[in-house]
Amino acid sequence: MIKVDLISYIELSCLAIGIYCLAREKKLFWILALSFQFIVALTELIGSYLTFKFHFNLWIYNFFVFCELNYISYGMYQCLKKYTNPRILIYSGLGIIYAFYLYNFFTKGFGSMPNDTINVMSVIFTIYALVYYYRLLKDPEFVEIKFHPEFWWVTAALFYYFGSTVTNLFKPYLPKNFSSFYFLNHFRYSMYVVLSLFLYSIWSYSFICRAKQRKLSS
Amino acid sequence: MQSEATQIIFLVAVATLIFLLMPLFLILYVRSYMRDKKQHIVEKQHMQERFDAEILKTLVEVQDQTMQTIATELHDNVGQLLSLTTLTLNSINIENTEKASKKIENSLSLVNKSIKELRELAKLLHGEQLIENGLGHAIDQEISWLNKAGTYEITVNNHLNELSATAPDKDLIILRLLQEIINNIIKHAQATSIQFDTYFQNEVLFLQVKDNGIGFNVEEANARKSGMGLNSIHKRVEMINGKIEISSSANSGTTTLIEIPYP
Repeated sequence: MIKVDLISYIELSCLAIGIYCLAREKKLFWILALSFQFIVALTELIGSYLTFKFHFNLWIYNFFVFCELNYISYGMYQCLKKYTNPRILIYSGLGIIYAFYLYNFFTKGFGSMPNDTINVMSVIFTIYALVYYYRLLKDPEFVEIKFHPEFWWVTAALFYYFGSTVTNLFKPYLPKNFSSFYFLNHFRYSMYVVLSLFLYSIWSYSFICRAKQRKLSS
Repeated sequence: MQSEATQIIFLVAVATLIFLLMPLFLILYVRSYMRDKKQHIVEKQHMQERFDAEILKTLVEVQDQTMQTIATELHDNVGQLLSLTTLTLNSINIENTEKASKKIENSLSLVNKSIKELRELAKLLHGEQLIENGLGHAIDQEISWLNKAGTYEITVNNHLNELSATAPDKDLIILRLLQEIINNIIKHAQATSIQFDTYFQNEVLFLQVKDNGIGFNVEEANARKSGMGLNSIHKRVEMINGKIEISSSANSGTTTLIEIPYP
């Protein structure tokens, strides 16, 4: 039987909330948010299935990183666009991430995890989120952040990418199977569960805010 | 080995926790900043509303003052001219053609004078219209009515007629300020001469009114905040970010200098 882990449950819950809140969405940003959530769930299921069948599954996660870097860059572009012209910032960031991704692809092939790309991606997305916060504060218009979907979408990304920086950087030094405690033995996984919980629960909230916003504007 | 591994994990866990706390503090900061921003916007709206209400009040006051001037003029000037015309026409003896034609000529001249006065009065009817022709013109008009009465020796140095910049709301308030200052002089100063100086320098408009009246104790009048309408003058000047300086002492007249950033 295919083993569905805790992270998959969190992702599937977010997808379910996304379908409920964004099914009638017409804005490309939110359509892509739902599509990405679908890709996330599909990747996890295919990954789990391949593990179950004892097949090599890193290529699917490698492909997922490619989708992720494009989707988050597009999302940040859309969020920043309201306050500034983010073209130079986003294109430079994308250029750097692509350089690392392609380097990994040509040197290690599609079957290896692009860890350096993930590290660089985390730093760049954190910078995007901080720029967004700065622009939001500088904007003369008042925004009710409590129900502001874009704000929560960026906040989720900031929590996840900034929070995962330390774990990503120390990944090679994290020991495994040395203790009788599950948390210590699977520390990295446990951290990702916590980070995923932050990311997908806040994204789910942003979907709810968006549904509310759409309802109010219709 | 195990304790070293636990130490690494502990360090990474603490560092991650700190890294997660940072966005949390950021959210709290943004929330409090937005709350302040909202308060600031609401305050700004209230100020704008108060400003609009004050402008409306000023407009009503300017119109009221104009109506009073018109009523006085109709009663004292046009009314008298027309009464005199009636008397002259009534006294005409048609048989005495020479005298009759002279009286008719006199009557015609009186009627023409009345028409001229009425035309002048019509110009005063709308405070807004007065402002439309420019602040310099409005000030001229205001002073010319005062001059007409002949009660005061008036000196005017009005350099605002060539003023190209306009600020209708400010113009209305400045005109009202001038009216209030003139009213105060008429009511309280017992002056015989008044000097008006208006000029524009470095984006600041200066309005100075000087009289040779009995003067008053400025501090006392300010403290009383009633009677002479000084409070309302101060409030209006403050509203348009201006400055006012009143210097006066017993029997040495009063000088009022108003500086207003313009436009």
